[in-house]
Amino acid sequence: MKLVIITGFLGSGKTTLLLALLKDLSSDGGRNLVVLENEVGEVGIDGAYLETHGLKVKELYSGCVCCQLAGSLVTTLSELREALDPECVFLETSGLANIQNIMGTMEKYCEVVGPDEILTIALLDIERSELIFEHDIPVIQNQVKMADVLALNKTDTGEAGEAETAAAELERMNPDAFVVPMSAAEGENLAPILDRLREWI
Amino acid sequence: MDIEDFVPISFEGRVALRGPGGPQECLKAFLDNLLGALVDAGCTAVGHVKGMMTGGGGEPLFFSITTLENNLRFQGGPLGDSDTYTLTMNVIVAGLEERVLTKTFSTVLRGHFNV
Repeated sequence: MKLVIITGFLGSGKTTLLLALLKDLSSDGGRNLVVLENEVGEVGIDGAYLETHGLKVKELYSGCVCCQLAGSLVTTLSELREALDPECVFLETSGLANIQNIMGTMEKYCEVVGPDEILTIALLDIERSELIFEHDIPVIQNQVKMADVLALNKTDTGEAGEAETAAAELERMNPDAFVVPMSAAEGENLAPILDRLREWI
Repeated sequence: MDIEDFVPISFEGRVALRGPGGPQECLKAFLDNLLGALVDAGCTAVGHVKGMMTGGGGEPLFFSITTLENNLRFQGGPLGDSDTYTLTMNVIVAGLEERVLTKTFSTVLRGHFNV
């Protein structure tokens, strides 16, 4: 079982990207993919949205898997492996999740939880680029530094040249990451991420 | 600004339309006024205002706002005709105490729906 962690700040487009990726990957046929959805709010909304598109979704809400629900994350991943034996679990974190803590939990309980490999996709919203580049918000800085893929989202809403400038800055912040300017809502430039996922899964 | 500045509240309940128009029009008017009221109360950033409305035998209607400039987006629907709908929402914003956020939300909600 592999684990894809889709992280990003509140409103960065995680659910939209997840849906677009899974719709495409599911079209391959025969894939056993499961979504684990985490929301900090007391009611689950994204899980219901994904289920209306026919995806298998397990929800963890009313807390964050990076802190209050870290134990539930471990238990749930273990249960999913036991019950469904998925090829890959896609974990959508809450918008306030500290990815560093989640990676720490995975490392600590790796033998129990059992993801063979982890790929982290961090979404960054170009509409709110000041959160990335102007405010030193540790949660967002960690997302940038620890991601394997940095998806610079909503490039359809930015001004000319804005995406290129932001992408160059992200490459400087995390030279090891694969930076992809894209629009999840418009389905623009998802192919590089899909190719990476198909190769990896 | 830091993560601790963001305060979440949730709502889930049955609501009846008060104004003219269908459920999506009422929802849009409610969300427009909610965002304005939050800004007036001192909100400095929107984490997200998102939710769904269900009822009337139609398809669930999802919505989200992620900026102070009100980039409201609807997905799904249409809802069916009904006297009441189920509204489910998560609101996370910065710059407001939970008490103020809860009161502001509740006041605007009751201005648009019978709860």
